[in-house]
Amino acid sequence: MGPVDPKALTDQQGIADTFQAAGLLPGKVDVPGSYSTKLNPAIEAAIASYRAKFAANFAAPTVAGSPAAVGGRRVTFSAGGADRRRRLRVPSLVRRAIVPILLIALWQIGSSASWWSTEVLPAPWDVAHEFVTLWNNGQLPSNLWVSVRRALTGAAIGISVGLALGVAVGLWRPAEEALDATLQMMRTIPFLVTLPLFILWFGVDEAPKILIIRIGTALPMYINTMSGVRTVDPRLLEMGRQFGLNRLRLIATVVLPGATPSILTGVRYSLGLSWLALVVAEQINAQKGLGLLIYNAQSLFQTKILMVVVVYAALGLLTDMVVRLAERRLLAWRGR
Amino acid sequence: MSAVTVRGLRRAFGSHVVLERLDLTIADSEFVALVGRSGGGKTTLLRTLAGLDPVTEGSIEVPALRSVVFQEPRLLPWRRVWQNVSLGLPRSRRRDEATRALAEVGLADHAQAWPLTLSGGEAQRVALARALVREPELLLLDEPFGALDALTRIHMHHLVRQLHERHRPAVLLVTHDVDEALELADRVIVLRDGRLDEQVETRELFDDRRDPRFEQARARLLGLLGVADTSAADTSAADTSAAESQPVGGQ
Repeated sequence: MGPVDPKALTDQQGIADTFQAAGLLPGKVDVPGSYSTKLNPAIEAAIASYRAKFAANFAAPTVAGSPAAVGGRRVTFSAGGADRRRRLRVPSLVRRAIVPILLIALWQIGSSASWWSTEVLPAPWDVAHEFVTLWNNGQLPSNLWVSVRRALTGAAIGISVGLALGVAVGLWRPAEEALDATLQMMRTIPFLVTLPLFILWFGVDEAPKILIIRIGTALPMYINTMSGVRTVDPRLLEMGRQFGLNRLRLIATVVLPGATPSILTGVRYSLGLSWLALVVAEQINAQKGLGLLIYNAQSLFQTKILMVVVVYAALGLLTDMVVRLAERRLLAWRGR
Repeated sequence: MSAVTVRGLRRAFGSHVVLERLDLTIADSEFVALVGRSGGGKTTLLRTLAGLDPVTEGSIEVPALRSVVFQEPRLLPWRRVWQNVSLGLPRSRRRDEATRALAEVGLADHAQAWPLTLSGGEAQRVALARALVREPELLLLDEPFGALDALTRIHMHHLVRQLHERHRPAVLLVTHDVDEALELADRVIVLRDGRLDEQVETRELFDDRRDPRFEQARARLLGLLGVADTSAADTSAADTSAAESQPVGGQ
C-alpha cells in the first residue's frame, strides 16, 4: 500500500456511517484504518453534513411513505420492441431510390405539361429513347468502350503510382524529403488547367488524355495512402520485426493492410476524378469516345444527348459500387 | 549452460540512467521474474534482450530463437487468429503448427476468428501461442497480464506454468506484481536504480503458500520495492497517515 490519503479514509468511513444511518447497512461498520476518534472539528463537521445529506436522500421517502420519490423514471428493454420496429422497415434500396424516382417523375410531368421547351430540356422518355437508338446502331457501345478503357488504363496507372509514392513517402524519410513538398504543391493545382499545356507538348492524340487522367488519379491516391501508412500502429510494426518479418513482408502483412481503409478512400476519390478528367480530356479532338458524342450533338443542338450525362452518372455509380464491394471484402476483419 | 548472459549493460536516455552496469545470467529453462517500480528500467532490459533496443554499453548474449509477449496482444486485426500465430513461420508448416499451438492455449476452435472478436484474455492467449509456436529458447514476457482482470490473470498464470513445464524455454517475466512473480518464477530479481538489487530464490516454495518462507519472501520483496507489507502493516500505516493529516486538517 502506498501512503494513505486521509481524505479518502474520511470519505469511506463517512459513507459507511451514512449508509448505516440510512438503514442500508446492518449495524456499525468500521472501515479498516479509520481514525474517527482523532478527527479534527473541520472534518467532523464535513462528515456531519455528509450524513445529513445522505440520510435525507435515503430516509425521507420511507418517512413520507412515497417510494416514487426515490424511484425515478423506469426504462424497459425487451426483444419485442426492436422487432416491432423492424417490421415497419422499408428495404434500404427502396428508401434510397425514392428521391431519384420522384425527381425523374417531376421531370417527365414538367416536360409533358410543357413547363419548358423540349428543345431546351428533353423529356426523360426521349432521353431513354435516344439511349436505345444509339445503343442499337452501335454508336454508344463503341464510344463507351473507348472511354471506359481510357479512364481505366489512366486510373490503373495513376492509382499504382500514387500507391507506390504514398508507401515510399510514408515509410522512408529520404523519399519524404525528396518528394512530399512537390507532390503537395501539385495537389493544390487544379490539374485540369494543365490540359492545354499537355496538348501543346504531346499533341492531340491519346497521350495527353491518358496523362491527365493519370495525374488526376495519382494525387488523391498518394495523399490518402501516405496518411494511411503513417497511422499504422508502430507497435504492430515492432511486433512484426520481432517475429522475423523482413522489410518487404512487413509492408505486405502490416503496412498495407493497416493502411487499407485510407487506401480505399483514395481509390474512391481517384476513380471519381478519372471520369471527370475523361470528360474534360475528351472535349478536345476526340476521334472516339463519349466526348465525341457530346461534341457532335452540341454542334447540331441535339439536347437529347443529355443521355450521355446519364451514362456518366451510371459509370460513377458503378465504380462506387465496385469500391464499396471491395471495402466489404477487404475490411471484413473490422466486423459488423 | 546459460541462456542469457548480460555483462556491464548500461543504458541512459540523456542524463537519465536507466540501466547502470547491469550483470545478469539466466540458466537454460530457468523462469526469472524481474520486478521493480515503473520507470525502473525493467522494460528497457527486456527490450534490449529482445533486440528491440540497441546495446550502447556492455554486452549481452542471447539465443537467436527468442520471442516476446507484449503487454498488449499486438495481433494483426486483418489476419485470422491462426494466421497471427503462424506469422513468420515457413509456409509449409504454418497451418498445422498454428493449430497445435492454439490447442495448447485452449483456443483451437477460434482459429478462424478475427482478432477483434476475441476478449482480452483470449487475445493474450493467442499472443502466447504465437510466441511459443516457434519453440523459442528464450521467452520474454513484458507485463503480459497487466491489462487482464483478476480471474483471467489466474487462468493465465496456470497456463504459463503449464506451458513452461512442457516447452522449457528460459523465461524473463517483467512485472510489477510481486505475487505474480512469486507464483510463477524460480527466481525473483529486484531492479532498483538501474541495478539488480537483490534476488529471492523461490523455486522451493513454489507449491506451498502456507510455508512461512513464502510470506517472508513476499515481505522482503515488497520492502525492497519500498512498500510496507500490506496485511501486517495496514493499521500502523493508516495510523501514521492519520497523525500526519492532523496539521492539514487544522488549517
